[in-house]
This record gives sequence, C-alpha cells and structure tokens, in this order.
Amino acid sequence: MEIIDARQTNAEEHGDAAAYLLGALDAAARARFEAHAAECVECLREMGELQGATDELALSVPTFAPPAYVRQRLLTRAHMTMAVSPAPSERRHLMVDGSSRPLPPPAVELRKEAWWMGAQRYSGALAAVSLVVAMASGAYAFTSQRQLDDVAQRAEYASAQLSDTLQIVYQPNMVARTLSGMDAAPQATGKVVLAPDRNKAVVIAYSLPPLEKDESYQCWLTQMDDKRFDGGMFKTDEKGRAYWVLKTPEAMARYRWMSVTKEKGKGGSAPAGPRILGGQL
Amino acid sequence: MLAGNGSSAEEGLDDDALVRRLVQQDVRALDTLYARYSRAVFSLALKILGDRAVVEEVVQEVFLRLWTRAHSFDPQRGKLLSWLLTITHHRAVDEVRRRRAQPQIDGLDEQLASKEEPASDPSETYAQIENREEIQRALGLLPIAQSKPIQMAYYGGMTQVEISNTLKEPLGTIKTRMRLGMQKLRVLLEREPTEAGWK
Repeated sequence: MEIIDARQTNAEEHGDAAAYLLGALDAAARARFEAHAAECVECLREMGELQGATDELALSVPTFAPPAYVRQRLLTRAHMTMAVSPAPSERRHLMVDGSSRPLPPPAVELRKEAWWMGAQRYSGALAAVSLVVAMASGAYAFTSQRQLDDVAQRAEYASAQLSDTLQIVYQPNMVARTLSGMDAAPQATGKVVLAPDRNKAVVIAYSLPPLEKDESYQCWLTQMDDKRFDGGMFKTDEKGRAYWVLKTPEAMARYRWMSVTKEKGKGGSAPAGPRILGGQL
Repeated sequence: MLAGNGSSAEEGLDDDALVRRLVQQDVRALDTLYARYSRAVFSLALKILGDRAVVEEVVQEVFLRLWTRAHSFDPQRGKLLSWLLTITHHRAVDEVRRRRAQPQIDGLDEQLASKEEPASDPSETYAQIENREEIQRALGLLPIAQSKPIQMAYYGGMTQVEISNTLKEPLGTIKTRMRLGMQKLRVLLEREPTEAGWK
C-alpha cells in the first residue's frame, strides 16, 4: 500500500509535473517543484509517465541536419577540454576526416582534484598577468623588434598589451599550455594562455639563451593540416624572459603546435635556425 | 540518418556503452552520439529559436555538456535522447526568455516576429516524416483548450503565468488543461494507429 503524505499533495507545486516537463515553470517555480518532486512519489511517477509524450513533442518538429562545420567545432572544443581533464589511459586525436591517431603524452600531467586543476590552469595566466604588470611598471627592460625608445610609446604599448592579456585570461574557457625546452635550450620553458575560440594568445617564455646582435627569436604555429603560421619575432630581456600577445588569423583551436626558433636577421618564412621551445596547443 | 562521420566501430554500440566511453574521454564516442542525435537536437532548438546561428551554438553547448558531464548521466533514470532533448529544450527556452527580458533593441522585435517555419529538409527520411505526422495527428485530437497551452509552453517558451495572462484564463485552469492534455497525449501515442485514427 502506498502512503501519500497529505503535506505533499497539498503543496502548491503538487501536480505541476506536466508544466515542469513542458518548461512552463519559471526558474523559481521550477526549483520549488524539483524540491517537492524529490519527496513526492505521485509527482515522480507522473513525470515518468509523461516523459515519453514530452519526447514525442520534441520529435514532432520538422527535422534538419546541422551544418557540417558544427560537428568539427564541437570536436575541436571537446579536444581542447581534454588537456585540462584527467588523462585517460588512451587519448586519441580525432582527425577532420573522421579517422583518429594516438595523441603523444601530454606535456603536463594534471591531477583530478578540481582545485588542483584550477591551480594548474591559472598558474600560466597569473604568471602572464604578473609579468605584464611588472612590465607596465617599467621593471623589465622588454624590447620589441621596433626598439621602443620613447617612454610614452612604451607605456602605451604596455597598456595595450595588458589590456589584451586581461581579455584573454578572463575568458571562462581559457586554458594554459606548456612550452618545453628543445635540444638547443633544454633549460628554456614557457607558457601559452589562450581561449580556443579566440584568435589571440598570451605567450611567456623563460630562460631563453642570450641572442647575438643580429639574432632574434621567431614563433611558429602549426595547424592540424600541417600548415605553418609565422607568429612573429621577439627578443628577450636581460634575464632571458620574453612576453608577447600573439594574434592569429584563425581561432587558436585551429592550431595544434607552437615552436620557437632562433633566427638570423629578420627571420624567414620557414624555420631555419635551431629549435628552442616547443609544445602542443 | 546520420549527420556526421561517427566511427564504424562505435556505431554498433548502444547509448549506455557510448556514455561509458565518454567518461573515458573517448572523442569517437562523442562523434558517434553526435551523428546519432544532432539532428533531433538541432531541429528542436530551431523550432523554438528560429535563429540558425544561435541554434548552432546551442547544439554545441548541449553536446559539450554531455561530453563534460557524462559521468552524471544515469541510464536508470531515462534514455539518453530524453536527457539531450530536455537539456536542449531548457537551453532554448532560457534563450527565448532572455531575449524577451531584454530592453527593446532596434529591429529585434521584427526579427523575432519574422521567425519563419523553415522549409522541409529533403534529407528527412520517410520514417521521420511519418512519425512527425502521427504526433501532429495526436495533438490534433486534443481539445484546442488543452493543445494550445501545451504548444505555447513547449514551442513558445511561455510560462504558465504568461499563458494564463495571454489567454485570459485563471492560472489553475491552465495548469489543469496542461496536465490533462499531456495525459491524454500519452494515451493517444501509446495506442496503435489505424487508417481511420486511433483505436
């Protein structure tokens, strides 16, 4: 015998199962009904009975296939979330043609606890912001290819960089990637802070080898179809540090690898010098 | 009909097996489920919102939510398709209500008013058309006083209070009609249709 609690049946929300399933309750009424239904056998049963009819309403509309690019965007975004999630025993990269290949081991292993994931994700961003703030205050002797001698110009440039940086790090879907030192500079390291759906990223690098007068570093991005993009040239400060806001023609999700090489003169359209830094995006 | 290129190995797996693979971060499982259900999700959102660009974003959000919260899906509590359609409906209705709550933006009212019923898709299968017509017939058998509030709520994103005000009927009356209408719809759809109608 089923005992029905009179307090439940007298509640204002009792009998709102149909309205709930149809989405006809506002947020407050929805929350009240959910609290009520958690303890009301009758309402729970009615919800189970009417769920099928609700599904049929959904399936009774004219059907259309979404455009093909929606699938690709989804898979790209899903792939981006994988680097900040616990690494499964086997991760695979889904190619645009539907095939898949094994992914190389992640550059950074992340633990499962949410607070640790948050700390890992934001450490690169915090480093970027602190470096930008210090730069803006004049603490670093950062120089760009353009050799900014004018103080006002430098301040304006730093302010613009700070603004760009904050825009990136405050994105809710912001992620951080690690750049590792290559054979020519094993001690070098770096971080890339990006939002996959934006065409900007903040890049910071540490412990880069000193440059000769006619040398610069050049940044490269490789897309999933192996096309390469020239990310620009930069120099370091006296401590081997560099920071820049990278702007790309397409969303960052389109790029799978970043590298830095040491180049002579004004660099070139393809890497010619030794690889200094590299990492998966 | 599949909308994407789900892996052939995964296509033979049922939804529960694919969800377990999602928990293991298997993107191929996501691709297969997308191929299986994106059409239904897209179509429902398009019916409610009418704006293709927004609908495309909703579709991605729904499947990303499945991707990131696969561990919270409990097959004991219902089918995956129900879960997806419920999330889609909530998301679409929230968007409709958000737009209604915004101050009037130039041209927005006109844009909403001009939301047209999209032309039929030639890739729709005969089975899909037939199923849709069956549900429409069942809705047609409901008294208009019951089917109207149901459609205003489900496809129009209106709350009971808004429907009550629009139809100038007491709130309690609208609640009752919705409830009775859905119960009758359930019975109609469970019956076997005949050439003349329902048994």
